Amino acid sequence: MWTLIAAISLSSLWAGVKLREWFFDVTEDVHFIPDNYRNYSWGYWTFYNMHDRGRSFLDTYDDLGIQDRTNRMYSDYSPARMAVYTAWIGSNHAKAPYSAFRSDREYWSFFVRFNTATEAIAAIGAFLLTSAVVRRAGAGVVRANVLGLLAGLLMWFCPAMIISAHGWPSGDIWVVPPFIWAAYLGVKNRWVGVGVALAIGTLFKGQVLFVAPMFLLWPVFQGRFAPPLLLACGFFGTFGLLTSGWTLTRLDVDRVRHLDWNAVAYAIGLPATLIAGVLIRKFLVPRIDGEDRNVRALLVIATGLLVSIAMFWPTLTLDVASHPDPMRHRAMNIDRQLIIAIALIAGVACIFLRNWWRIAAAAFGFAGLAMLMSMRFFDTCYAWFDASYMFGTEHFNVMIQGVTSNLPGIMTKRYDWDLRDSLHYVVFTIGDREITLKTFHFAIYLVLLLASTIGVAMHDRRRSTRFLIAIVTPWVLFFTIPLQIHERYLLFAGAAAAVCIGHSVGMTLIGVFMSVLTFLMTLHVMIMNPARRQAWCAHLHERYPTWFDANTDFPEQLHRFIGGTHPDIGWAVMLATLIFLWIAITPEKKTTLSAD
Amino acid sequence: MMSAVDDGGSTIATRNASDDAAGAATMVVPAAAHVHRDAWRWWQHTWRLLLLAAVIFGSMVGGLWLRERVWEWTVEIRFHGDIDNGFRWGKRADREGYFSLYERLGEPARDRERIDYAPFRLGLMTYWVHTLRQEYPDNPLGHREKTAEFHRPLLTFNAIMGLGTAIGAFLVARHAARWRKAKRRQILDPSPSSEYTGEEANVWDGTWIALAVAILTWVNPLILLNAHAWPQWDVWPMPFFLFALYCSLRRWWLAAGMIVGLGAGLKGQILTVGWVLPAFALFIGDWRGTLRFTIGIAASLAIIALPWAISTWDRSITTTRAFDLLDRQLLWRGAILVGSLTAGFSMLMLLITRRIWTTTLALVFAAAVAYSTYYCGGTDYWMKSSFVVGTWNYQEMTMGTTTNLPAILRTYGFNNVEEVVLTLPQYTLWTTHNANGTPTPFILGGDVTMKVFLRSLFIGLSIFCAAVAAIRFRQRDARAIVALCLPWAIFYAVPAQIHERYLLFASACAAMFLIVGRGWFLLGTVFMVIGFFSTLHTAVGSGRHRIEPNYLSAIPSWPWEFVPVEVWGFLLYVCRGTYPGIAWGLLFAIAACLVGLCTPGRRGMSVDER
Repeated sequence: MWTLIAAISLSSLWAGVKLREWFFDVTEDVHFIPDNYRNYSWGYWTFYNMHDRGRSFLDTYDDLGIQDRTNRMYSDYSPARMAVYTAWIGSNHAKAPYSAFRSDREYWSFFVRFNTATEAIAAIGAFLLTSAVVRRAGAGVVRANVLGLLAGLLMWFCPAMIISAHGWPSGDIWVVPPFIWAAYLGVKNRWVGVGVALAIGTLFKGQVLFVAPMFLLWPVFQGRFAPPLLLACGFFGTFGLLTSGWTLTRLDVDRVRHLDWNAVAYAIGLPATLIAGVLIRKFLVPRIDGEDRNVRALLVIATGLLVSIAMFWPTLTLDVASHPDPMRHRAMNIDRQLIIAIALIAGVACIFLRNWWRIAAAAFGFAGLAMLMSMRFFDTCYAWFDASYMFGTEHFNVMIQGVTSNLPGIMTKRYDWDLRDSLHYVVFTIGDREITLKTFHFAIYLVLLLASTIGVAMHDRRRSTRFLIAIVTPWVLFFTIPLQIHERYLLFAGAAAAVCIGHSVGMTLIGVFMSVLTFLMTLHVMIMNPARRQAWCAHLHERYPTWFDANTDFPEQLHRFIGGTHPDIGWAVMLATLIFLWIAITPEKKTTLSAD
Repeated sequence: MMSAVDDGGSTIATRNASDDAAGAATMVVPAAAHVHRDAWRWWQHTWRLLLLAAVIFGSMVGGLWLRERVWEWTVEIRFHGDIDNGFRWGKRADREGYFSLYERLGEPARDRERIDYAPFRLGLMTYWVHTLRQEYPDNPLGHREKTAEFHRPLLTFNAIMGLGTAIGAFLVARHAARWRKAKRRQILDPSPSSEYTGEEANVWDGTWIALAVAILTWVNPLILLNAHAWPQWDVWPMPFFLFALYCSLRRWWLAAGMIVGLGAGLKGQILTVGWVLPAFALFIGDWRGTLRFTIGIAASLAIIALPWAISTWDRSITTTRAFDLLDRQLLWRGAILVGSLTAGFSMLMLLITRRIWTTTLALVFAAAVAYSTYYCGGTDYWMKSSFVVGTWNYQEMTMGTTTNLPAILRTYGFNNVEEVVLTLPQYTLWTTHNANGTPTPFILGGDVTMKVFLRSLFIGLSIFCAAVAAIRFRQRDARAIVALCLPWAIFYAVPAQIHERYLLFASACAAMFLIVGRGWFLLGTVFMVIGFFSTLHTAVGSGRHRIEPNYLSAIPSWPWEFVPVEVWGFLLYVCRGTYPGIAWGLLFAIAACLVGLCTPGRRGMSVDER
């Protein structure tokens, strides 16, 4: 069987790569230039700053500073994303120094290969996740592997992913592999791994954070409290470590980067304090003479308190309110109570942690947390965080971005809600706080996310294949309900829904519907420009003269057809969302009749 | 020990040591145990009966009260066009004679006045006006009054039809719900002679869920809106369809066909989906059932046609009664033919075999009436007016604010139902020659217009539904009911020339989806919601100019004062936003139903697996 799986996988891999190359070529004239050029620009700027001006990759964000929200020129690229674009320009520089932007495949080869690799990783994750869930639901190995293989193939040939990664091309698909792998590791009870996967995903695209609460709460709803802590350790540890280039450094007046020794000490001291506390509790306290167990218990608690105080101490010296940078002050204004809570968690962890693996994970997590908190405590570099995760939520202050066919899309186009102003419409007030439409929709999303998380926990506990539906549901909700959503973001649901094959064909078909719809919405934006449609006509005629004559109006007809679906097909999307949600939150009927 | 685990995981039947002990006790004191068991059984039936009666009474009263209120609350959004039309035809039939009206109007044609009312519908309008004349002898009935009392006969009939729909839904739902119980019994105890009595067939099996289905149907908002706010008559075919469906499930094919035929006497739309039932019979391998069903329809139509087959309009009579059957000229040849043929064959068949007596009688009667209609001086204007005019009367992609596939196609510029969308290769099947010797070829293929294309799509999908229904029926899977009702949703969603109100047909069946599961019921509710929006859109849109801003706040002693006074304006705003885009949602829901029908049943529930 494994030989067969390997044979199918390899042949599909080859076919998929060829399909991607063909798709890139055939859509060359309608690639979405504004985004492409922006990617090129930031990669170019970063690379040549490094190459010609002796600046480092880390300096890009700090040279940019905290960006003006109204400025047309902006960067909202998270670190890993920026790194990929920089490497892309670097690879082109190696072939032809200082080459100008082009749309051909040779120029884009690094980027699309990276995307192809990402898609392959996602497909492998889909295979593993589906087969694991189907297997534990009671199916045989063959059935589980066949369904897993089908899920992998569906993911690999997902139209939404192909158009996003090779037609647009963009890096939106980078969200999918970390999500799928996080789900798989969650099923396998590897919670530090889940945190690591989510952190890597967050470094590529911040959208991962919209579904991250599901992974945090899923074990909580099962009455397990260690997994979320392990997840947090994995997340903060990885995230802190990979961004330590910013969080442990600062620029001086000459804009030269220096290590901030206070931050370094804090990043080492925090986990060290924890480990010290654990060591005291594990080795020192048991050696104290005396038979009184209460005394020993008190000593253990005292150790925990000491660790907490040691962690909390540096924050007492801070004066956040007087910080000169208002943007930074607003973003980093973490309440002291939160710091105290984290310190207390560390203290409690030091009391209860017994497993060395978990102690290491906790130390890893606290080290990462310390690095992130250094931005606030020691004024280390912050611009990267603002650009990556704060700016993105604010600079597209519109109901929908592009031709998104979802609930806000219908509200805008069919119910005349203003594209820009409605975002700040006050739905109601709670006390003095005004709940705007943006907040209201996001709150609905959060409530439904919570419901689907309960579904994830329930189906995971019952070993039901509905788990696969529940795990995808947050992405469907993420597209349908909140404001400011791009038309391409149904990709996350459409691609992830490949795993639904493990549950039923019907749900898979809904996933395919979402994938095709994403394809259409993405293509709609790509062919929106009449001049580019004209160019595409010529290109199609040149490539396929027998199918498309010189005056072909195929792009025009296609544009007209897709245009007719916007935003009304959002009704179907909403219905699909309800179906997903319903199946996610209702228990599967296990009708097993037996007579002995 | 024998046990069965139901959906919730609880043990539904267990025979164990305690049962054996009880059995032993029975052997020791049989008389006392029997007395105790009978008393217990009596009490079990009694309290259920009392509860059933109370629920039925409560929901009846509540439903009737709601209907009265719906009429009052929606006075400002009444769609007067339809009811004025009914009033006009009623007045005319009352004045010129109900039976003769079709003949007075003659062959229906586009260029002259025509009626598209089926006989029973026209009869009801005539009866309405006739009773009004008796109640208001001094009123010339120049215009229609707006009160409920004025429309009482129609509203009462609508309520009766609503009740009939609920009863039909109850019967179908109870029948399907009992399948599951029966199947479980069969899996647990395939041998009828077994001593196992853990799950005896019970008269109450499936009753409560069927009652819930009936109540949901009885208070279906779309039926209330259509029958008591608009008001229209679209609910009329539904009891007939549901009773026919019930008869089909029981394999009472002749009765099913006759019921569908009688329903067609009220609203011809029942025929557009009613044919799915004989197709279903064919797919389950019962071709005799298909034949009986068809004969049943023919017999019913023959009963309806009888007055026009054996009598004709007597032009010499100038003044006439409302129901002018006795004022008409009898066609002796036809009457004798129908009478003698029917009586003769029925006697003959009684002598030969009684097994197919009713079917033969129905067939001979239908044939005799048809012969009399076409060869003995009878007329078929009533039939053309009832069933043909409707197909060409409105040559529009959609009528009103219909949210379906043609409405979406209109947004793409397809506005003409006669537009050629496809050209197929042509095949001449045969050629006939008329009296002049001119050949008339019968051609298959050629240009396919939008109307034909969409109808073909509807027919294809409906046949598919019938086939799936047959498979599910053989498995005793309740999804057979969904499969047999889904063509009503497809009938609204796919063909051209559909009115915005016609999703009521699917909506009236939607409550029965509850038998399959809650998810299915919610999917059925989508039909109701979309139908409600599209119907309300036209109703509110047409009545908008009559709505007074402070209308609702003027209603005394109701808690509606807190409702914004511009509620109709708000509803119009909501409905407008759904047109026509929500049709995508409808198509998606139908697709989801079709996929759901095709997926295999739950594991462990197949009788074959045992």
